[in-house]
Amino acid sequence: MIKNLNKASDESLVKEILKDPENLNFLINRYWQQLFFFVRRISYFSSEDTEDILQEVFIKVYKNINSFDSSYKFSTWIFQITRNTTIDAIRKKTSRPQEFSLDQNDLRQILVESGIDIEEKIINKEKVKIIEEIIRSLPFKYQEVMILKFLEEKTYEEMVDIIKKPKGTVASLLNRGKALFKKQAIIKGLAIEN
Amino acid sequence: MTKDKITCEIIKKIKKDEIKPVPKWQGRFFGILIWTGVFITVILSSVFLSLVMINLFEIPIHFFSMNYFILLVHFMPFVWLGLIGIFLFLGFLIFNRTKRAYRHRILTIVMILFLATFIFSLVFNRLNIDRQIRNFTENRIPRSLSNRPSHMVFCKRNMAEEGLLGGELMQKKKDSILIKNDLNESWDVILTPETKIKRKTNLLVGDKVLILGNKIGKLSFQARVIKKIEENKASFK
Repeated sequence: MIKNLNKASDESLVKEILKDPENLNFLINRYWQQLFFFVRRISYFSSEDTEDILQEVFIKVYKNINSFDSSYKFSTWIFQITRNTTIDAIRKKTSRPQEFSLDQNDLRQILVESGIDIEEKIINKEKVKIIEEIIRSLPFKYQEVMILKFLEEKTYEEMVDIIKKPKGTVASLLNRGKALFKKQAIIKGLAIEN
Repeated sequence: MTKDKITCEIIKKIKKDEIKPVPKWQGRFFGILIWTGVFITVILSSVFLSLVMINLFEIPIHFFSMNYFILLVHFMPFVWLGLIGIFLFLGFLIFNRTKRAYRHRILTIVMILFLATFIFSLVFNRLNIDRQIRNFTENRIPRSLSNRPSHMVFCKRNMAEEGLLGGELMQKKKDSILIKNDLNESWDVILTPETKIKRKTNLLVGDKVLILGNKIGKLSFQARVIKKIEENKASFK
């Protein structure tokens, strides 16, 4: 009889996966959507490429499941693996098609968190293009911390463990990312300097 | 592809390729190996730091009258300083491979490593391990380096002007001793109540000695500190 592990804690699920790899199915169900959006946001890969990356991620999770340290949150650990696998894929990419995958809510969230007041309820196509350009122009290190903080809503402690940098560095990257984004937004006429 | 299909693909691949979780002991073993590497590099750099310290502080230096460059050239084996730097750098690289190294700033890691090195070097100094190592290495100095002790390897031959005299004890008098240096000069070395003899050894005729002090005449020298050069140290020739 297959146990229903949908409500089991992450730690219990890890133990069950070690007994039977079929139980990995519950882990994939739990984290698939969250990780899918995370990979697409930081990499601009297509859905197909993202699925390939996530397949690799879950296999790595299974392989390294014994090294999971319970002093971390399990979600932090799986995000860590996902991030590293995505970065490896970005480095390997040659001419993979890139699709910008931040929707209107994501964009609005980034604008608000960067201190840019935008009154229109709907961001029109032209503004979307501008925001997209600005975000793409930011170095990866700023993009990923802004996505982790504003869109994935990770705490500083979780971000430290995911991107493996000290807390001070993470805070500094976030502040600089916001400042750069705001500066570019002012230059491109999205916001007024105050 | 739907999520369910992908899930099936993943589990199928795990079973087909017989992918198994990496055993726990392997991860722990690697962690222990890394920490052992950090410890070894700290110990090695501590050994060399203690060697530098005994050279720097064993012979008291009159800082105000000596040229700092000469001081450095005479008493600081550059190779040991270089080795401290290399091992500390290695220790830093190995430490970065530990599980939680990323939580600390680079400066913090470097300071902790240096502090650990310094503490261990004091321990080695106390246990005389550094002297034993120096004696061991000095016995193996090639003759081409004029058979000087390693901490004197850059010495000039006649340094009386700079407050350093070395030679063989030829005669002992009440308030002075007669020293013959490697230039065959006979120096009259005046002893005062302030003159210190290192380790309070009893100086005998025939002993090789190193004297710190001041030149007071053509072949006259006033001694502040006298150190007997032990056997197996090469001669001053």
